[in-house]
Amino acid sequence: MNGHPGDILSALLDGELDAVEAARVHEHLEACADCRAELEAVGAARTWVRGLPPVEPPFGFYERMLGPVRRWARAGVAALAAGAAASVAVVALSTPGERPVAPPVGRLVDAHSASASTSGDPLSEFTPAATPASFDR
Amino acid sequence: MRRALGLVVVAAVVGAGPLAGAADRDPIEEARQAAETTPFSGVVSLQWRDGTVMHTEQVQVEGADGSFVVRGRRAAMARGSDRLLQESDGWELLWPSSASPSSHPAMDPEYQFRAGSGAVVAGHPAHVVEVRKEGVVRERLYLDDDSGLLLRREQFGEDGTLERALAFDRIAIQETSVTAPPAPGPVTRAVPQPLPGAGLPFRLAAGYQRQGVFRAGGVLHVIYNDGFSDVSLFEQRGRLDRENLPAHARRVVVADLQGWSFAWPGGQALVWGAGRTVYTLVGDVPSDELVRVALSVPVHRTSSVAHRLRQACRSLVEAFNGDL
Repeated sequence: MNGHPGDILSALLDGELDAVEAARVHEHLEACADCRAELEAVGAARTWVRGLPPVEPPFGFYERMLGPVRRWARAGVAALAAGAAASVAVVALSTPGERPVAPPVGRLVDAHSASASTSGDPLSEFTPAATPASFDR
Repeated sequence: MRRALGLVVVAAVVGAGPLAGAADRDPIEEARQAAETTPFSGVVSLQWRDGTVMHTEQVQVEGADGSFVVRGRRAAMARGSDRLLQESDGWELLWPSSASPSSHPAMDPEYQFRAGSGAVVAGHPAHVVEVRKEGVVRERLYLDDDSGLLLRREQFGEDGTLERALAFDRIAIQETSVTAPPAPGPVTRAVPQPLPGAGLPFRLAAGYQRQGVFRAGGVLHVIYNDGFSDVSLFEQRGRLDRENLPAHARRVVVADLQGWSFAWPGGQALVWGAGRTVYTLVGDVPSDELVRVALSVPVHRTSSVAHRLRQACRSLVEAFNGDL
Protein backbone atom coordinates (compact mmCIF):
# COMPACT_ATOMS: atom_id res chain seq x y z
CA MET A 1 0.00 0.00 0.00
CA ASN A 2 1.37 3.38 -0.98
CA GLY A 3 0.83 6.00 1.71
CA HIS A 4 -1.52 5.79 4.64
CA PRO A 5 -5.00 4.36 4.26
CA GLY A 6 -6.72 7.54 5.52
CA ASP A 7 -10.48 7.32 5.29
CA ILE A 8 -10.24 3.71 4.13
CA LEU A 9 -9.93 2.97 7.86
CA SER A 10 -13.52 4.04 8.21
CA ALA A 11 -14.51 1.68 5.40
CA LEU A 12 -12.57 -1.08 7.13
CA LEU A 13 -14.58 -0.53 10.31
CA ASP A 14 -17.78 -0.57 8.21
CA GLY A 15 -16.77 -3.92 6.71
CA GLU A 16 -16.99 -2.43 3.22
CA LEU A 17 -13.58 -3.53 1.97
CA ASP A 18 -13.08 -6.64 -0.06
CA ALA A 19 -10.57 -9.27 1.03
CA VAL A 20 -7.69 -7.87 -1.03
CA GLU A 21 -8.12 -4.34 0.19
CA ALA A 22 -8.68 -5.43 3.80
CA ALA A 23 -5.49 -7.51 3.69
CA ARG A 24 -3.56 -4.51 2.35
CA VAL A 25 -4.85 -2.28 5.12
CA HIS A 26 -4.09 -4.88 7.78
CA GLU A 27 -0.60 -5.24 6.35
CA HIS A 28 -0.10 -1.48 6.59
CA LEU A 29 -1.53 -1.38 10.11
CA GLU A 30 0.98 -3.96 11.26
CA ALA A 31 3.81 -1.64 10.33
CA CYS A 32 2.31 1.81 11.05
CA ALA A 33 1.70 2.85 14.63
CA ASP A 34 0.15 6.19 13.52
CA CYS A 35 -2.54 4.42 11.53
CA ARG A 36 -3.18 1.97 14.34
CA ALA A 37 -3.71 4.96 16.62
CA GLU A 38 -5.99 6.58 14.02
CA LEU A 39 -8.00 3.39 13.65
CA GLU A 40 -8.39 3.26 17.40
CA ALA A 41 -9.40 6.92 17.52
CA VAL A 42 -11.94 6.52 14.71
CA GLY A 43 -13.37 3.46 16.41
CA ALA A 44 -13.52 5.23 19.75
CA ALA A 45 -15.21 8.29 18.21
CA ARG A 46 -17.86 6.13 16.59
CA THR A 47 -18.49 4.33 19.83
CA TRP A 48 -18.73 7.64 21.65
CA VAL A 49 -21.13 9.19 19.13
CA ARG A 50 -23.29 6.10 19.05
CA GLY A 51 -23.36 6.13 22.84
CA LEU A 52 -24.73 9.67 23.09
CA PRO A 53 -28.28 9.86 24.41
CA PRO A 54 -30.91 11.22 22.02
CA VAL A 55 -31.71 14.90 22.63
CA GLU A 56 -35.28 16.11 22.32
CA PRO A 57 -35.61 19.71 21.05
CA PRO A 58 -37.59 22.07 23.26
CA PHE A 59 -41.28 22.52 22.56
CA GLY A 60 -41.87 24.76 19.51
CA PHE A 61 -38.22 24.66 18.33
CA TYR A 62 -38.97 23.70 14.76
CA GLU A 63 -41.82 26.23 14.44
CA ARG A 64 -39.64 29.04 15.77
CA MET A 65 -36.82 28.03 13.47
CA LEU A 66 -38.89 27.84 10.33
CA GLY A 67 -41.38 30.59 11.07
CA PRO A 68 -39.35 33.64 10.11
CA VAL A 69 -37.83 32.04 7.07
CA ARG A 70 -39.40 33.35 3.93
CA ARG A 71 -40.65 31.11 1.22
CA TRP A 72 -37.91 32.17 -1.22
CA ALA A 73 -35.22 31.37 1.33
CA ARG A 74 -36.60 27.89 1.85
CA ALA A 75 -36.72 27.39 -1.89
CA GLY A 76 -33.13 28.56 -2.13
CA VAL A 77 -31.98 26.14 0.55
CA ALA A 78 -33.86 23.34 -1.17
CA ALA A 79 -32.27 24.24 -4.49
CA LEU A 80 -28.81 24.30 -2.94
CA ALA A 81 -29.40 20.93 -1.29
CA ALA A 82 -30.67 19.47 -4.54
CA GLY A 83 -27.70 20.88 -6.39
CA ALA A 84 -25.27 19.40 -3.88
CA ALA A 85 -26.99 16.03 -4.05
CA ALA A 86 -26.96 16.15 -7.85
CA SER A 87 -23.25 17.03 -7.84
CA VAL A 88 -22.46 14.11 -5.60
CA ALA A 89 -24.53 11.80 -7.79
CA VAL A 90 -22.93 13.06 -11.01
CA VAL A 91 -19.43 12.70 -9.58
CA ALA A 92 -20.30 9.26 -8.18
CA LEU A 93 -21.53 8.10 -11.57
CA SER A 94 -18.63 9.64 -13.44
CA THR A 95 -15.96 8.39 -11.03
CA PRO A 96 -13.77 6.19 -13.19
CA GLY A 97 -14.14 2.46 -12.54
CA GLU A 98 -11.37 0.18 -11.39
CA ARG A 99 -8.24 0.03 -13.51
CA PRO A 100 -8.00 -2.85 -15.96
CA VAL A 101 -5.88 -5.76 -14.76
CA ALA A 102 -4.39 -8.40 -17.04
CA PRO A 103 -3.35 -11.28 -14.76
CA PRO A 104 0.28 -12.30 -15.45
CA VAL A 105 -0.81 -15.90 -15.87
CA GLY A 106 2.64 -17.26 -16.74
CA ARG A 107 4.05 -15.76 -13.58
CA LEU A 108 1.14 -17.00 -11.49
CA VAL A 109 1.42 -20.63 -12.61
CA ASP A 110 5.18 -20.48 -11.87
CA ALA A 111 4.43 -19.24 -8.36
CA HIS A 112 1.94 -22.07 -7.89
CA SER A 113 4.41 -24.71 -9.11
CA ALA A 114 7.06 -23.38 -6.76
CA SER A 115 4.84 -23.19 -3.69
CA ALA A 116 3.12 -26.54 -4.33
CA SER A 117 6.47 -28.28 -4.80
CA THR A 118 7.53 -27.38 -1.28
CA SER A 119 4.60 -29.25 0.23
CA GLY A 120 4.31 -32.16 -2.20
CA ASP A 121 6.66 -34.22 -4.32
CA PRO A 122 9.23 -31.62 -5.43
CA LEU A 123 10.18 -33.35 -8.65
CA SER A 124 6.74 -33.78 -10.21
CA GLU A 125 5.40 -30.45 -8.95
CA PHE A 126 8.32 -28.26 -10.00
CA THR A 127 9.42 -29.91 -13.25
CA PRO A 128 6.65 -28.18 -15.29
CA ALA A 129 8.28 -24.83 -14.39
CA ALA A 130 11.02 -25.67 -16.91
CA THR A 131 8.42 -25.74 -19.70
CA PRO A 132 6.91 -22.27 -19.56
CA ALA A 133 3.48 -22.44 -21.08
CA SER A 134 3.03 -20.62 -24.33
CA PHE A 135 0.27 -18.13 -23.74
CA ASP A 136 0.65 -16.34 -27.07
CA ARG A 137 -2.49 -14.65 -28.28
CA MET B 1 0.57 -32.36 -2.68
CA ARG B 2 1.10 -32.60 0.99
CA ARG B 3 4.31 -33.58 2.69
CA ALA B 4 3.03 -36.52 4.73
CA LEU B 5 0.03 -38.59 3.88
CA GLY B 6 -2.16 -39.92 6.62
CA LEU B 7 -1.50 -43.45 5.49
CA VAL B 8 -5.06 -44.27 4.59
CA VAL B 9 -3.66 -46.78 2.20
CA VAL B 10 -6.05 -49.55 1.36
CA ALA B 11 -4.19 -52.65 0.40
CA ALA B 12 -6.20 -53.85 -2.54
CA VAL B 13 -3.30 -55.63 -4.08
CA VAL B 14 -4.10 -56.68 -7.57
CA GLY B 15 -0.70 -58.07 -8.37
CA ALA B 16 1.86 -59.82 -6.23
CA GLY B 17 5.38 -59.56 -4.87
CA PRO B 18 6.73 -56.07 -4.21
CA LEU B 19 3.30 -54.51 -3.71
CA ALA B 20 2.83 -56.15 -0.35
CA GLY B 21 5.19 -53.69 1.27
CA ALA B 22 3.72 -50.69 -0.54
CA ALA B 23 0.62 -50.47 1.59
CA ASP B 24 2.45 -49.48 4.75
CA ARG B 25 4.57 -46.78 3.17
CA ASP B 26 3.69 -43.16 2.63
CA PRO B 27 4.25 -42.76 -1.13
CA ILE B 28 4.59 -39.00 -1.25
CA GLU B 29 6.90 -38.79 1.72
CA GLU B 30 8.83 -41.71 0.22
CA ALA B 31 9.12 -39.84 -3.10
CA ARG B 32 10.11 -36.61 -1.39
CA GLN B 33 12.85 -38.22 0.66
CA ALA B 34 14.12 -40.12 -2.36
CA ALA B 35 14.29 -36.93 -4.44
CA GLU B 36 16.30 -35.29 -1.65
CA THR B 37 18.73 -38.14 -0.98
CA THR B 38 19.13 -40.11 -4.21
CA PRO B 39 21.46 -39.04 -7.01
CA PHE B 40 19.68 -39.42 -10.34
CA SER B 41 19.69 -38.09 -13.86
CA GLY B 42 17.36 -38.67 -16.75
CA VAL B 43 14.90 -37.47 -19.32
CA VAL B 44 11.31 -36.73 -18.34
CA SER B 45 8.30 -36.48 -20.63
CA LEU B 46 5.50 -34.14 -19.70
CA GLN B 47 2.07 -34.62 -21.21
CA TRP B 48 -0.91 -32.37 -20.65
CA ARG B 49 -4.33 -32.02 -22.17
CA ASP B 50 -5.81 -28.69 -23.13
CA GLY B 51 -9.33 -29.22 -24.39
CA THR B 52 -9.06 -32.03 -26.91
CA VAL B 53 -5.37 -31.49 -27.67
CA MET B 54 -2.66 -33.49 -25.89
CA HIS B 55 0.73 -31.76 -25.67
CA THR B 56 4.07 -33.43 -24.99
CA GLU B 57 7.43 -31.99 -24.04
CA GLN B 58 10.71 -33.43 -22.78
CA VAL B 59 13.08 -32.03 -20.17
CA GLN B 60 16.35 -33.18 -18.62
CA VAL B 61 16.56 -33.65 -14.87
CA GLU B 62 19.58 -34.12 -12.65
CA GLY B 63 19.69 -34.18 -8.89
CA ALA B 64 21.87 -34.98 -5.88
CA ASP B 65 22.40 -33.87 -2.29
CA GLY B 66 18.95 -32.36 -1.87
CA SER B 67 19.08 -30.25 -5.04
CA PHE B 68 17.92 -30.83 -8.57
CA VAL B 69 17.88 -28.88 -11.78
CA VAL B 70 15.42 -29.27 -14.66
CA ARG B 71 16.43 -28.07 -18.11
CA GLY B 72 13.72 -27.52 -20.67
CA ARG B 73 12.99 -24.36 -22.57
CA ARG B 74 14.39 -22.74 -19.45
CA ALA B 75 16.06 -24.05 -16.30
CA ALA B 76 14.38 -24.50 -12.94
CA MET B 77 16.27 -25.40 -9.78
CA ALA B 78 15.31 -26.69 -6.36
CA ARG B 79 17.89 -26.18 -3.61
CA GLY B 80 16.42 -27.47 -0.39
CA SER B 81 13.10 -25.65 -0.20
CA ASP B 82 14.27 -22.71 -2.32
CA ARG B 83 12.83 -22.61 -5.85
CA LEU B 84 14.68 -20.73 -8.56
CA LEU B 85 14.02 -19.99 -12.22
CA GLN B 86 16.54 -19.00 -14.84
CA GLU B 87 15.27 -16.03 -16.78
CA SER B 88 17.05 -14.22 -19.61
CA ASP B 89 18.85 -11.95 -17.14
CA GLY B 90 19.89 -14.63 -14.64
CA TRP B 91 18.50 -16.69 -11.79
CA GLU B 92 15.54 -15.55 -9.80
CA LEU B 93 14.53 -16.83 -6.40
CA LEU B 94 10.85 -17.51 -6.98
CA TRP B 95 10.03 -19.14 -3.66
CA PRO B 96 12.24 -19.02 -0.56
CA SER B 97 12.42 -21.82 1.97
CA SER B 98 11.15 -19.38 4.61
CA ALA B 99 7.76 -19.28 2.85
CA SER B 100 7.21 -23.03 3.04
CA PRO B 101 4.29 -24.06 5.23
CA SER B 102 5.26 -25.64 8.52
CA SER B 103 2.20 -27.88 8.73
CA HIS B 104 -0.70 -29.14 6.65
CA PRO B 105 -4.36 -29.70 7.39
CA ALA B 106 -5.72 -33.15 8.03
CA MET B 107 -6.36 -35.00 4.82
CA ASP B 108 -9.84 -34.69 3.39
CA PRO B 109 -11.61 -37.90 4.53
CA GLU B 110 -12.78 -38.43 0.96
CA TYR B 111 -9.27 -39.57 0.00
CA GLN B 112 -8.39 -43.24 -0.36
CA PHE B 113 -5.14 -44.84 -1.45
CA ARG B 114 -4.84 -48.26 -2.99
CA ALA B 115 -1.76 -50.21 -3.89
CA GLY B 116 -2.10 -51.26 -7.52
CA SER B 117 -0.32 -53.80 -9.63
CA GLY B 118 3.39 -53.48 -10.29
CA ALA B 119 4.84 -51.82 -13.35
CA VAL B 120 8.12 -51.12 -15.06
CA VAL B 121 9.03 -47.50 -15.81
CA ALA B 122 12.14 -46.69 -17.85
CA GLY B 123 13.44 -50.15 -17.07
CA HIS B 124 12.92 -49.87 -13.32
CA PRO B 125 10.41 -52.01 -11.38
CA ALA B 126 7.92 -49.75 -9.64
CA HIS B 127 5.06 -50.07 -7.20
CA VAL B 128 1.84 -48.26 -8.01
CA VAL B 129 -0.39 -46.29 -5.66
CA GLU B 130 -3.83 -45.23 -6.84
CA VAL B 131 -5.22 -42.04 -5.31
CA ARG B 132 -9.02 -41.68 -5.12
CA LYS B 133 -11.11 -38.78 -3.92
CA GLU B 134 -14.86 -39.16 -3.48
CA GLY B 135 -14.55 -42.59 -5.05
CA VAL B 136 -13.03 -41.31 -8.30
CA VAL B 137 -9.49 -42.19 -9.37
CA ARG B 138 -7.54 -38.94 -9.33
CA GLU B 139 -3.94 -40.08 -9.73
CA ARG B 140 -1.62 -43.04 -10.15
CA LEU B 141 1.85 -42.80 -8.66
CA TYR B 142 4.63 -45.13 -9.84
CA LEU B 143 7.48 -45.32 -7.33
CA ASP B 144 10.82 -46.99 -7.90
CA ASP B 145 10.96 -50.18 -5.83
CA ASP B 146 14.55 -49.61 -4.75
CA SER B 147 14.88 -45.87 -4.19
CA GLY B 148 11.27 -44.67 -3.84
CA LEU B 149 11.75 -42.02 -6.54
CA LEU B 150 8.53 -41.02 -8.29
CA LEU B 151 9.09 -42.36 -11.80
CA ARG B 152 5.66 -41.68 -13.27
CA ARG B 153 2.66 -39.69 -12.19
CA GLU B 154 -0.70 -39.72 -13.97
CA GLN B 155 -3.56 -37.35 -13.22
CA PHE B 156 -7.09 -37.99 -14.42
CA GLY B 157 -10.21 -35.95 -15.03
CA GLU B 158 -13.58 -36.72 -13.48
CA ASP B 159 -14.49 -38.93 -16.43
CA GLY B 160 -11.30 -40.97 -16.16
CA THR B 161 -9.48 -39.37 -19.09
CA LEU B 162 -5.78 -38.72 -18.67
CA GLU B 163 -5.28 -35.00 -18.04
CA ARG B 164 -1.56 -34.89 -17.27
CA ALA B 165 1.35 -37.27 -16.98
CA LEU B 166 4.96 -36.91 -16.00
CA ALA B 167 7.24 -39.89 -16.59
CA PHE B 168 10.91 -40.71 -16.82
CA ASP B 169 11.73 -42.00 -20.31
CA ARG B 170 15.29 -42.71 -19.20
CA ILE B 171 16.78 -42.56 -15.75
CA ALA B 172 20.03 -43.49 -14.05
CA ILE B 173 19.66 -43.89 -10.29
CA GLN B 174 22.45 -43.90 -7.70
CA GLU B 175 25.05 -43.01 -10.32
CA THR B 176 28.03 -41.73 -8.37
CA SER B 177 29.00 -39.43 -11.21
CA VAL B 178 25.91 -37.30 -10.68
CA THR B 179 26.66 -34.30 -8.50
CA ALA B 180 24.51 -31.53 -7.10
CA PRO B 181 23.89 -28.64 -9.49
CA PRO B 182 26.25 -25.76 -8.81
CA ALA B 183 24.87 -22.81 -6.86
CA PRO B 184 23.53 -20.18 -9.22
CA GLY B 185 25.34 -16.89 -9.59
CA PRO B 186 23.70 -13.61 -8.64
CA VAL B 187 20.08 -14.19 -7.73
CA THR B 188 17.24 -11.71 -7.97
CA ARG B 189 14.99 -11.91 -4.96
CA ALA B 190 11.46 -10.87 -5.83
CA VAL B 191 10.22 -13.14 -3.08
CA PRO B 192 6.68 -13.20 -1.72
CA GLN B 193 6.03 -11.45 1.55
CA PRO B 194 3.88 -13.27 4.11
CA LEU B 195 0.69 -11.51 5.22
CA PRO B 196 -1.92 -12.10 7.90
CA GLY B 197 -4.98 -13.88 6.57
CA ALA B 198 -7.54 -11.47 8.00
CA GLY B 199 -10.59 -11.13 5.81
CA LEU B 200 -9.75 -14.10 3.61
CA PRO B 201 -11.84 -17.28 3.74
CA PHE B 202 -10.29 -20.05 5.80
CA ARG B 203 -12.17 -22.89 4.07
CA LEU B 204 -13.14 -23.43 0.47
CA ALA B 205 -15.10 -26.28 -1.10
CA ALA B 206 -13.75 -29.83 -1.50
CA GLY B 207 -11.95 -29.79 1.86
CA TYR B 208 -9.43 -27.02 1.13
CA GLN B 209 -8.06 -24.98 4.05
CA ARG B 210 -5.98 -21.84 3.96
CA GLN B 211 -2.26 -22.50 4.45
CA GLY B 212 -0.65 -19.15 3.85
CA VAL B 213 -1.11 -15.68 2.42
CA PHE B 214 1.61 -13.86 0.50
CA ARG B 215 2.02 -10.79 -1.63
CA ALA B 216 4.40 -10.57 -4.58
CA GLY B 217 4.42 -7.97 -7.31
CA GLY B 218 1.10 -6.50 -6.23
CA VAL B 219 -0.69 -9.85 -6.36
CA LEU B 220 -2.18 -11.53 -3.32
CA HIS B 221 -1.37 -15.28 -3.29
CA VAL B 222 -3.48 -17.44 -0.99
CA ILE B 223 -2.49 -21.09 -0.70
CA TYR B 224 -5.11 -23.72 0.11
CA ASN B 225 -4.49 -27.41 0.78
CA ASP B 226 -6.84 -30.38 1.23
CA GLY B 227 -4.21 -32.56 2.89
CA PHE B 228 -2.99 -33.89 -0.47
CA SER B 229 -3.20 -31.20 -3.18
CA ASP B 230 -2.52 -27.47 -3.22
CA VAL B 231 -4.51 -24.85 -5.07
CA SER B 232 -3.39 -21.23 -5.33
CA LEU B 233 -5.87 -18.37 -5.37
CA PHE B 234 -4.44 -15.10 -6.72
CA GLU B 235 -6.32 -11.85 -6.22
CA GLN B 236 -5.71 -8.51 -7.88
CA ARG B 237 -7.58 -5.26 -7.49
CA GLY B 238 -9.19 -4.05 -10.72
CA ARG B 239 -11.42 -5.25 -13.52
CA LEU B 240 -10.41 -8.15 -15.74
CA ASP B 241 -8.53 -7.27 -18.90
CA ARG B 242 -8.14 -10.38 -21.08
CA GLU B 243 -4.95 -9.15 -22.70
CA ASN B 244 -2.63 -11.69 -21.07
CA LEU B 245 -5.02 -14.63 -21.20
CA PRO B 246 -4.02 -17.43 -23.56
CA ALA B 247 -5.72 -17.32 -26.95
CA HIS B 248 -6.91 -20.88 -26.40
CA ALA B 249 -8.55 -20.10 -23.05
CA ARG B 250 -12.09 -21.50 -22.93
CA ARG B 251 -15.06 -19.57 -21.63
CA VAL B 252 -16.57 -20.94 -18.47
CA VAL B 253 -19.21 -19.68 -16.09
CA VAL B 254 -18.28 -19.22 -12.44
CA ALA B 255 -21.62 -18.76 -10.66
CA ASP B 256 -23.23 -16.24 -13.02
CA LEU B 257 -19.91 -14.64 -13.89
CA GLN B 258 -17.89 -15.09 -17.04
CA GLY B 259 -14.51 -16.74 -16.63
CA TRP B 260 -11.78 -18.36 -18.69
CA SER B 261 -10.11 -21.71 -18.25
CA PHE B 262 -6.86 -23.03 -19.67
CA ALA B 263 -4.27 -25.73 -19.06
CA TRP B 264 -0.53 -25.55 -18.73
CA PRO B 265 1.99 -28.41 -18.26
CA GLY B 266 1.46 -28.42 -14.49
CA GLY B 267 -2.30 -28.09 -14.18
CA GLN B 268 -5.40 -26.03 -14.82
CA ALA B 269 -6.20 -22.38 -14.24
CA LEU B 270 -9.42 -20.40 -13.98
CA VAL B 271 -9.58 -16.62 -14.32
CA TRP B 272 -12.65 -14.51 -13.55
CA GLY B 273 -13.51 -11.04 -12.42
CA ALA B 274 -16.08 -10.08 -9.82
CA GLY B 275 -16.75 -6.56 -8.61
CA ARG B 276 -13.44 -4.86 -7.99
CA THR B 277 -11.30 -8.02 -7.96
CA VAL B 278 -9.74 -10.31 -10.54
CA TYR B 279 -9.30 -13.91 -9.37
CA THR B 280 -6.95 -16.55 -10.79
CA LEU B 281 -7.28 -20.05 -9.35
CA VAL B 282 -4.51 -22.55 -10.18
CA GLY B 283 -4.10 -26.21 -9.29
CA ASP B 284 -3.30 -29.68 -10.59
CA VAL B 285 -6.72 -31.03 -9.68
CA PRO B 286 -9.55 -32.08 -12.03
CA SER B 287 -11.21 -29.10 -13.67
CA ASP B 288 -14.63 -29.72 -12.09
CA GLU B 289 -13.04 -29.63 -8.63
CA LEU B 290 -11.32 -26.39 -9.56
CA VAL B 291 -14.70 -24.93 -10.58
CA ARG B 292 -16.24 -26.11 -7.28
CA VAL B 293 -13.47 -24.41 -5.38
CA ALA B 294 -13.90 -21.25 -7.46
CA LEU B 295 -17.63 -21.19 -6.74
CA SER B 296 -16.92 -21.25 -3.02
CA VAL B 297 -14.71 -18.14 -3.14
CA PRO B 298 -16.75 -15.30 -1.61
CA VAL B 299 -16.67 -12.39 -4.05
CA HIS B 300 -17.69 -8.75 -3.92
CA ARG B 301 -19.66 -8.49 -7.12
CA THR B 302 -20.05 -4.74 -7.41
CA SER B 303 -18.64 -1.57 -5.99
CA SER B 304 -20.90 -0.69 -3.07
CA VAL B 305 -22.97 2.47 -3.23
CA ALA B 306 -21.27 3.61 -0.03
CA HIS B 307 -17.86 3.16 -1.64
CA ARG B 308 -18.87 5.09 -4.76
CA LEU B 309 -20.38 7.91 -2.67
CA ARG B 310 -17.29 8.00 -0.48
CA GLN B 311 -15.13 8.34 -3.59
CA ALA B 312 -17.45 11.01 -4.99
CA CYS B 313 -17.39 13.08 -1.79
CA ARG B 314 -13.63 12.80 -1.66
CA SER B 315 -13.41 13.99 -5.27
CA LEU B 316 -15.64 16.98 -4.50
CA VAL B 317 -13.59 17.93 -1.45
CA GLU B 318 -10.40 17.62 -3.46
CA ALA B 319 -11.93 19.75 -6.20
CA PHE B 320 -12.78 22.51 -3.72
CA ASN B 321 -9.29 22.26 -2.25
CA GLY B 322 -7.82 22.76 -5.71
CA ASP B 323 -6.32 19.28 -5.77
CA LEU B 324 -7.88 18.42 -9.10
